[in-house]
Amino acid sequence: MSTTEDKTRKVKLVTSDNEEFEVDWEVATRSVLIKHMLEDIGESEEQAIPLPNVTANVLKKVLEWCEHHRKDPEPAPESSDDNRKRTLEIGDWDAKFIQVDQEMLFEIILAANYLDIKALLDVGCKTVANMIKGKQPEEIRKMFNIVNDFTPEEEAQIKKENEWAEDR
Amino acid sequence: MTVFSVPLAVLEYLCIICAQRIRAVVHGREVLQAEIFEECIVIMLWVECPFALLLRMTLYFSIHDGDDDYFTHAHHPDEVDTLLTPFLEPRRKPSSCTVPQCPSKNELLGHLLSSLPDELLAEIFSWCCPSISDQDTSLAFAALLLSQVSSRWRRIAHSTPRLWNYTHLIVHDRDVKAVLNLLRIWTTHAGALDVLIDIEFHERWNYPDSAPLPELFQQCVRAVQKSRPDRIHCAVNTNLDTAVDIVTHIWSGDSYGYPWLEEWNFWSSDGCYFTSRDEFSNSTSTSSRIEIRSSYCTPNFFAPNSYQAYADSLSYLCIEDDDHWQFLGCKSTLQILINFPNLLHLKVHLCLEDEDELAPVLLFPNGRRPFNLISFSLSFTDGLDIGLLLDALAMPSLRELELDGLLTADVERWPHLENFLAASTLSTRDVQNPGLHQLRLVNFDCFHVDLLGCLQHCSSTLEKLELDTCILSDLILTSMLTSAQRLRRLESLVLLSCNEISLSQLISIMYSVQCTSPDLQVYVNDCKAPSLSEREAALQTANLFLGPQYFVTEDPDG
Repeated sequence: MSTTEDKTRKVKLVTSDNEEFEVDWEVATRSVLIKHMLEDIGESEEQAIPLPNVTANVLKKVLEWCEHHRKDPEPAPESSDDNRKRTLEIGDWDAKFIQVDQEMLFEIILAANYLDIKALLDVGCKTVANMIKGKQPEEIRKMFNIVNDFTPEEEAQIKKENEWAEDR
Repeated sequence: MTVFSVPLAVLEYLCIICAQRIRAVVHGREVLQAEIFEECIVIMLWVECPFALLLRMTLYFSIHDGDDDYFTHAHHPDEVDTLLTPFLEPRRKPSSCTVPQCPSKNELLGHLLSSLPDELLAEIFSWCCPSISDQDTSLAFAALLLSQVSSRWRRIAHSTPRLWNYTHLIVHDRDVKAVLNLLRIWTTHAGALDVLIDIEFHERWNYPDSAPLPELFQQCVRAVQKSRPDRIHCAVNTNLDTAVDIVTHIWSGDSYGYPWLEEWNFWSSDGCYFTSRDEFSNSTSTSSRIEIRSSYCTPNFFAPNSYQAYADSLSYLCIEDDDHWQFLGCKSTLQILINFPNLLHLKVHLCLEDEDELAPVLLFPNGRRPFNLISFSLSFTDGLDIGLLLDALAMPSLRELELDGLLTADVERWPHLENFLAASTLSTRDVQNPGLHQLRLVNFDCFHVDLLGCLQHCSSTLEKLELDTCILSDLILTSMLTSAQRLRRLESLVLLSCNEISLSQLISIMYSVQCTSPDLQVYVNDCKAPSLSEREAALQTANLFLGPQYFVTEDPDG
């Protein structure tokens, strides 16, 4: 539970390329990782949080998301995947936010995973999933330049699976 | 392997080789021919830090022969960028790209995707697949398709149970072989998660003339039981060779102008069955379960003789017969009850006047036959006498009863409902049974039917009473709620279009019962037209709720 004092507090974050960001506690703690690190270091305001797996340009983007979602309800405790509301729809703001080049999209996914920002990870994963959904394996291979490296035995099994699934 | 997954020392070495390659290209010398280095350079530059930074630094060191003061030299970006121009150029002008070969958009996307760890790829896959809570927005076979892309994708898909907890399979012309194999795939890969599988039967012909659906459905269930015997929690199903314990629900009607029939079969690994075709059952079991449900729709009507094979499984039967395709009478309804002894819920519409009395063979020696129904809904054509049917039945387990129909006008007193409730209640005393909880009467004349007499048989159990378009007096209502034989457990009373009931009487009753029945809520709509003061007083009365008809503005022109 955050206190009023927490909400006015500033947090320093240092990226892998040594850039320092000073952000509101409420924004920074959208990341469960940062929240736990802050709990570990206690009241020490001067101590910067190192984020060795995130570069400055990616963190800037992630913080933009956190700033917009700073008032969102606290994420629910880890629930089973099926209890999570499964909708592929992405909110208008998030959809605009995630309109980035492909490299940045994947960097955001990696950063959200590392920083443990579940809602942002969902936005990123849903965006990639929307590229994949509804496509046949050959189309997916072509789209992502993936080599078909199945063994003959696997190919035979896949052929059977396709026969079973035909017209189903 | 990608540049993202190699150790740092190897990457440093790669950068040194790449830096040599860059300088060689710039100076027109061919040092290394391998295309892989050119690709690495481009990818590193595209992916930016930290690889691009490492590459730029390595390049700078190679120019300045080990001068490690990279960050203090203001001129180094220009110097390094000049050297990198041939590698950056293809990105801006793909068509003029010569050396090195520029990776396509797809190649880059592929590199980025393959750089993700398995758990993130699995997370992306999970958004591509249907689940129990989101069955319709993804292809039913998405998990199978994802597992057929590459060996890595196959390994990840097979080891991610949440991709396999729901699918929808179609059986054509009763050929279940392929579906049996697919069922094994899904239930195996789902691991310990809950699984729900829908099987839809499509046929050109009407299957009751051939193999009945429960038999085919049982084959599907046995396939699952054999592939995942560890998931069978129901003790009665431990012997896989015996008949599978399933339940069948049938809806039959003619609301579209032609007869239609919808059939559902359900099986659950923990023996907890569906009460609704729309929902995964709310089992209280803590262990995970597999549930399979099948559906079949056809333009047909329910013919009891064709469905005799369903005698063991049919637990829910709803025959809505607005256009009289079904043509049921008292005798055929009793026959249905006898033929399907496991029925728990029955809803029928009767329109046929039986020519003769119910044959003695249909009756029990004492004149009534007990049935295990939990809910019974009977509607009938105006004037049809259902008395004979009620006289033949006793339902000691009955919790919900609905009767909808206008009795014959010449009936002075119609004792059949009261007798039926009395007989069912008498039976109830012998077993641990909760008794009638809900009663709904539509179009009943509560002077011909002794309503108070009927209610005395369920006064200690009835929780909800709905009277719709009934002829009812304030006096009956007052006795029902305030007398010594009042409905003590009643929580909800709904009065719709009962023209004799006045708001002032209701208000008076509500005040008099507020101590004895504080939880009673009364909803009233379209009864006797109230005065303005009556309506205002009703609005101030606790637990009395007025329907929209009481707020319709009067037409000033009359």
